[in-house]
Amino acid sequence: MSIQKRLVGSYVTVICVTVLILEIFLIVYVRYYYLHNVERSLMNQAELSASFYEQYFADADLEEQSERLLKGFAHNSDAQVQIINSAGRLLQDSIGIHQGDPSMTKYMDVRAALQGHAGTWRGKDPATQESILAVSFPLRSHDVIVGEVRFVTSLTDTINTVKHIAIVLISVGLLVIAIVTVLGLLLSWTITRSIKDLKLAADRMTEGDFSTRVHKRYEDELGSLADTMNMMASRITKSEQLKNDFISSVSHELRTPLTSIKGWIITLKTSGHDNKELLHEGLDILESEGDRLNHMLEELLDFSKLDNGRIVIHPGPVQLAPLLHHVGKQLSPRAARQGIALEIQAADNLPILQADENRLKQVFINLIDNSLKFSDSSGRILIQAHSAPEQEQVIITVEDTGIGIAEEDLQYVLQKFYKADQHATGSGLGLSIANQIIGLHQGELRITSEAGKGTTVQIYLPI
Amino acid sequence: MLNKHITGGILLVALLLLGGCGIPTTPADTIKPPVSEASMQREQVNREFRKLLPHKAQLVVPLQGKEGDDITFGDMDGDGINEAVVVYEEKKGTGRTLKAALFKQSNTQWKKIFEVKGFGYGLDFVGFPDLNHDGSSELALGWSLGAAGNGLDIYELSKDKLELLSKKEYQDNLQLE
Repeated sequence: MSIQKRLVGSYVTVICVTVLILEIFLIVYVRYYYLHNVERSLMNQAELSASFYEQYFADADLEEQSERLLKGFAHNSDAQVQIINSAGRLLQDSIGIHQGDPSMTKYMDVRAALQGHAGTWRGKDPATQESILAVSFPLRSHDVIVGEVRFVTSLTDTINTVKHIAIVLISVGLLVIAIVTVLGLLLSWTITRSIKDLKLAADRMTEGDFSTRVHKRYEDELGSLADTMNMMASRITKSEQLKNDFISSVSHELRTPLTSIKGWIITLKTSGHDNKELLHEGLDILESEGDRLNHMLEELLDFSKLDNGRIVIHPGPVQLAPLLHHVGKQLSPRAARQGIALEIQAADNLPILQADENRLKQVFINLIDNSLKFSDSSGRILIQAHSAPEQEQVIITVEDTGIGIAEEDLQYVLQKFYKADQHATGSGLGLSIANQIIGLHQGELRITSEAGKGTTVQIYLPI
Repeated sequence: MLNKHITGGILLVALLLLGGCGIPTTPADTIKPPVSEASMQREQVNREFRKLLPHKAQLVVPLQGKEGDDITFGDMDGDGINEAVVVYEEKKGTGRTLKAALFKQSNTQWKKIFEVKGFGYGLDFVGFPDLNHDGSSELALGWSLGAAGNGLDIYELSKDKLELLSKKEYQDNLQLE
């Protein structure tokens, strides 16, 4: 069942039950109110007449003065008035005595009044089958019941009025139900409309169209879901873009050394036989280009392992200071070639870490390589390591005076494939891999940078 | 919350249906004589007595009287100061009760001293005749039951209490003697 049907259904059910209960209550009450009041006012009239009779007319014979009494009793009343003697015989009737049985004792109210209590009776007139209400009250003369006065009313108008009110009440109830149904439809439409939008967009995304965006209708939960979906789509689009950039840059990266290798092989083939110097130079270049290719492929392999969570670190005791000096020694020739001062300051009291030495070395080489790549000659790279015992960690800082990273790029540099400059060399994976390796060591890698001034990378490693 | 409004609406409609809207007075009903000085004085006295009567009591004018005769004065105890009788009608549920209240003046303050029950549809006559010629007036109240006739109650004041002297029936013309 759809949400709309369920919403409207529960709405209508609740209101139907409410309206039904109210209607029954009101109609029963109105009916009681009318009948009770008609009976009460007849009873009052009868009581008033009977008490007046008892006070002032009790001395004379009832039958003799009955005609006059009837006029008085019927005064102020639209009901049919009857005077009945103590034997139950009808003496006077305001609508005229009909021929036939003058005995009234067949009516319950008449019998009750003859026994001395006020009597009421509701039923059908035997002749006309009309609904009637009769009230009888005993007439006493010096505490002896000499007869009774009887008021009879037709209930046709009363019942019609009650029916009329019931019809009005039922119509109002139906109107209320109709209004609620329409409101429920409108309300549920505002909800299901947003859901339909979301579903449509999700369908299109499933088909691969990530350029589609959900229209956000209201600032509600569904609205924020639409925002999330839109953001997700734009992220996916962006990573698609990154992937494409990556493939093209990696292809380019791979081709550069290959072109160089191929060029040198041709050169060596044609003129390498007799020129020994050229041969040596060529072989050196072939070696370094091969290394470059190897390095790049290793990086790709690492990355795919990291991405799949298949990379594992093999922790062992690591002396940080010798490791840093070793790395520094390894890279100092390149630094010297580029005219960059590479300085390593490792504190003496560095604790022994439990870490994967090779992976840490890879991270340091990567970071220093980056700094070298983005520093001009006469730049300076400073590597510092010190421990912070109170936080139980070691902090390694790699600081350079390179071109720095623009603020808008800073948040992306740790993402895989990301390159601030698409034409720069490298796969765009180095920092991402370094970050993941530090993460595997439960450490943290932070980058602060200012464009044109230099970059500082801080590594926090737990002891 | 929507249901709450609807329930409220239904109750309101039901109340209106059961209670009925107040119908403004018809034009013909607003016709009445202009205020005269005498009527203003009467109105003043009227208000004074009304304050001593139960809330929502309605003054009843005798059929054999004219407008403004809703308070009748007479000396019942023979002290030279007039007593006053006011007949009023009290609504009780669907019925109504007629009552006559006797007021005595002491230090210019009116005080209700006794009350008797009335009968029939209304008041036919009210007066303070001296029927037994003892110098102090009796209270005569004629109650009406329309065409059936009227009933006359004669009361005598004794020790600030009204005592019923006689009760009799009379037709159209009241003969007190």
